[in-house]
Amino acid sequence: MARKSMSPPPSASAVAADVSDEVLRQPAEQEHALELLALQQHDRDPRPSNWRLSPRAVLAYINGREPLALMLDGREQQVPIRRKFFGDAALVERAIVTLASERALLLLGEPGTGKSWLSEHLAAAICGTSLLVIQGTAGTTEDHIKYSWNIARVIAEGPRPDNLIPSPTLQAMRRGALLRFEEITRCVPDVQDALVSILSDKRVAIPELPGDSSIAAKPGFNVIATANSRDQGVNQLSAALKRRFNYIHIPLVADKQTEMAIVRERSEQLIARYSLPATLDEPILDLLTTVFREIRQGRSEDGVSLKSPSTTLSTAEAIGVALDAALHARYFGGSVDGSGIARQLVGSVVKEDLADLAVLKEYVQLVARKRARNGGPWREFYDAAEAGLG
Amino acid sequence: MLPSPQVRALPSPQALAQQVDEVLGAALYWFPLRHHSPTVASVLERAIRQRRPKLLFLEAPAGLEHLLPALLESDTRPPVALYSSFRDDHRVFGGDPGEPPLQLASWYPLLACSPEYVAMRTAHAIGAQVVFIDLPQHALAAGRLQRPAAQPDAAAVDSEQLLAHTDFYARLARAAGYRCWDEAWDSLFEHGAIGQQVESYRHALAAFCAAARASAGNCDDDTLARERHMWGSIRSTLATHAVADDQAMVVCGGYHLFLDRADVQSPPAPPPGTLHHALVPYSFLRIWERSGYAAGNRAPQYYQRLYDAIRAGTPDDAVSAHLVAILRAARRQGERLGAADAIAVQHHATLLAQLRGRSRVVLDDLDDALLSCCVKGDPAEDGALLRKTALEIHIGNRVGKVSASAGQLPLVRDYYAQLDLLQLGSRLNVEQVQWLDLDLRDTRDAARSAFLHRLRRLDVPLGEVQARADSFGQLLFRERWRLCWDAGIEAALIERSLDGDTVAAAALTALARALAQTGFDAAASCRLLQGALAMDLPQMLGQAQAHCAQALDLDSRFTGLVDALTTLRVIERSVVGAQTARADIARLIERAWDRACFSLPEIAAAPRDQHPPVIDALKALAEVALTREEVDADLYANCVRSAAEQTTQAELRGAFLAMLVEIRRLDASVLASEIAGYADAAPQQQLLAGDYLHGVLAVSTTAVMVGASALVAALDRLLGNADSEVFLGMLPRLRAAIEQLHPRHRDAFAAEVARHLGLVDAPLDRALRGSAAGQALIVELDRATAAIMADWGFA
Repeated sequence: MARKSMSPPPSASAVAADVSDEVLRQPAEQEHALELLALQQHDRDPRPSNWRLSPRAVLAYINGREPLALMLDGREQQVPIRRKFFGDAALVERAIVTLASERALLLLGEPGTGKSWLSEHLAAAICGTSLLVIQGTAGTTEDHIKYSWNIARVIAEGPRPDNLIPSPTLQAMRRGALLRFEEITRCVPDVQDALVSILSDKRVAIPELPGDSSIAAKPGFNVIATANSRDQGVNQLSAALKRRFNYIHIPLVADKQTEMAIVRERSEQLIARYSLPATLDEPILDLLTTVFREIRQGRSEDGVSLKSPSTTLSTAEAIGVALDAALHARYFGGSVDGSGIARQLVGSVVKEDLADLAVLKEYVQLVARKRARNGGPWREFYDAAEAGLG
Repeated sequence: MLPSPQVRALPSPQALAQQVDEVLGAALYWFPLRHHSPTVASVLERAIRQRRPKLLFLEAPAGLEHLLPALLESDTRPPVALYSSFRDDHRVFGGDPGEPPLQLASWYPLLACSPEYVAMRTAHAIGAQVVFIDLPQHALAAGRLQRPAAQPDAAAVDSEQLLAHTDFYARLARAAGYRCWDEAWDSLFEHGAIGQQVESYRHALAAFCAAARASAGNCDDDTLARERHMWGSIRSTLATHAVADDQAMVVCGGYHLFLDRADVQSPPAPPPGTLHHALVPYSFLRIWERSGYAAGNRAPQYYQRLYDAIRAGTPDDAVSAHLVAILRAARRQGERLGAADAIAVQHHATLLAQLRGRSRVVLDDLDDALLSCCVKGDPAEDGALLRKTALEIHIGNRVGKVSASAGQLPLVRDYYAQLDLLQLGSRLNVEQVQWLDLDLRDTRDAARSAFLHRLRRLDVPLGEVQARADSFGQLLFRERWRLCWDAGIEAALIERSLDGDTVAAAALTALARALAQTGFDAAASCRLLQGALAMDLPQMLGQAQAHCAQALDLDSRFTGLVDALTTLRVIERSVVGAQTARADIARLIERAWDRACFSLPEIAAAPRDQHPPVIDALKALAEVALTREEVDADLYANCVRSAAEQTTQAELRGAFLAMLVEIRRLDASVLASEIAGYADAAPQQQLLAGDYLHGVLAVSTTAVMVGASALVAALDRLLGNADSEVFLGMLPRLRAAIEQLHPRHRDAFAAEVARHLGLVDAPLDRALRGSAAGQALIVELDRATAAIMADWGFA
């Protein structure tokens, strides 16, 4: 990740160059290019057609493994293969196997459970690009899924292959790559169903072109879709489309230690990306994870029953709170402590329904208040929450 | 009593290899096994036929060999079990003389694919003698007497459990990604080993077991005792039969292959006592239930299918056939799964197996593939039905059958004869829940009911009666039974065989014994009387009634007496015909009523954890007061008033006063004024208001329906006077008090609160839920009903 130095003041040309080069976030295949290359160099297992890595190497990339020696420009270096996904290993195996089969993959789960994250890394490892993406919205049309035309040139020259603007789907089909379809259930059913023939025939007909024009998918082409389980009822997939997908449900993280590990690792990465001097100490990490888990589950570790909010309070939300607290500390002073977590928490819990404010108040009164008696981060948390919530 | 995973440095590979070679190269031929493993069974059969031993030593409980002929009869159909029970008549294990002696029972289950069963059949076919070498359970228990910390009736740790808890296996599982022992076994020695040569299979399995045992700590005492017995039996039998080592074969758990042959200590001797041995039917379900323990299996029907496919020479067909069976069953349950799904699942499972480094698909791959390809959502919710169906197909519902030549005890014979006579036998051929509806006015159904009740008294686990109310909410002449075959049926009958030769005689003995043991517990005595009636044992009725009368006089516990009264009222309703019997029961009811009322003031000081049953009993007694003319309702009211005056418990006081309101002996406004009293009290007293309200609302709906406005006003005043600390302290009980209410009453209460706070103007402002015409019709019906009720004098 490219980082910006804060001083000395850059020259105007340097600023112009930096602005043109700098990106906020690299795609996974670039950010983890060395890991992918090292895995490729050591990969001895059979690969499905057009896959960059064998299924076992993809699994190692996602689940992590001990460092590998990479030969680059004649020099050897050790490359750590970090764990990208902290869920059940069998779930990742099922996802990889699905992508090697006839069926497409639908990753389903609550918001913030890492569906897009997993989808991106799978695409990066399998076909070397995670950028062939369709973002599903209520405004997505069939053209976005299949192809559109350069109207000016069509008027001038008529429909010709050169005038066709391929969608990410067509690009993936031509390259034998993976198409990522984000939030598929946000699209209206008619648009979703454009995928049925693509997934069945592995071919897109282009009737506007003369003859029997069509574009066929190369081996390796497949689709990774994601869907929010809370949106299932918005535009549920038709039975025909369901049959062409294998569903992998990604659950909320079950145990506290794993959730703490995820929050720790991702927060550290984000804090580094924003060049923040803050650190997330273990007691604060424990407090943050505990608060999220207890409110989400509607029960405290001491057995107190609590109201549940309408929002999911996913692990991703907890990471967001940690980052916001670090940003706040960087630009408005202080450190990442219990009060910083309390200040940022309201935005995570109260999103759509103001009644969730009562949920948070109840938690602060029934749970945090008791723990605050022992001082430390819980005291900071309680005081800040009391002041903030009124 | 599993050992925790042990960590010990492994010997070098060369040393391990040498140890394995020494055991496998010995003249005495050792073969390692795993219970219910089809591949072991298949390879073992080939080994026995190749070696053709004269003696075959098998790791099964010594002393049960006499059951072999019946086991090997052609009309015996596994699953069956070798059953053994021991009764400590000589009190070797201690215990008071007045109490029943310790009883130990053990089952040694066998599937058709169990290596032990296959070994016994094959040995029989080649004329080899089978010798059981394991230490019997009761001898093992006697050995534990020497060790104070040990439990005499703990289950022995199986060879397989020992393997699965070693450090070697833990490290192997981590490295290979095995999620459980079954998955590891299937990958290494089941599907992954199909078709292997006998010696290479034996060698691979022995090497695994040697490494696992070497990585474990010292053997536990039970294992040592068993191994001493095994090795001692082998040596002594070889000597007495004058058979050379190379003419014998030992088949035992792989862990025991490496037992200490230099250990010369004697195993514990079997204690004196009464032993019963029998060959009994067993079931797939029972074997599954023991999964994870000795002699269990996670998917009996699946492994049986695999064994059949191995024998047919088409092992790869087992997974496909099993998959088709699951999808067919799922379709019958309404799942839309077709041939395309079957193909997708098979393909997915194959790819998963490859990714996981397996040569063949194992059950875990199949389960995962089913989830991937057939569940369109959250497996816990959307996949619940499919997962349940798959598990049912994995397990199967087969019940075994024992040859008629096995011989039966008279009680067991009578049981089967009664089943045939009452036409119940056909319902118990599979281990599936069957529902049996009985109309007790029908002679055959009455006989069936009595038979089933007798079995319950004998603790024979055939069925349970399920409560089912008729259209008037009463249980009179109908019973609904949930019947299911259970492997413990014959064992229970064998245990009871000393009580009588017929089910009726044994039930009579058991009832008499129960009456004697009950003492003067009124509730238990009345339930026994009810049991005597249900079992149709007229010989016991008089005795049971006399016992009940005495118990009612001597038992002073309020809740027990109310329980007895309730039971007697149920008996009264179900007694048909005989007027004398009804009169006897009525007298008992009167007696129970008086005793319960007089014991009521004693509950005034009941501790808090006793409040829920006490309040329930109070309500039950009130129901009798309101519905039964023969009883003295004034007595009840006076006793409740007296209890209310005596009690110092806020919750009970609330309940007593509310009960007086409920039976119209007190005005509802008193309840509100008591709460208002709390409003002006000290904070410590205010805290008790929640308890008081909890007691009131647990008993009285009148308080909500009639006195709600006063109650709400009093509560409002209380909450206004309480500071925040007191309010927080009171809150859980106040909340719990309101949550007790029926939703309709809660709504009414909430509406009253809204009215009190000025949030609603009038109760008729609600939107109509139906059409205007519909509402008009309801109003018309209401009017007509009111007119009819006026005619009846209710208006």
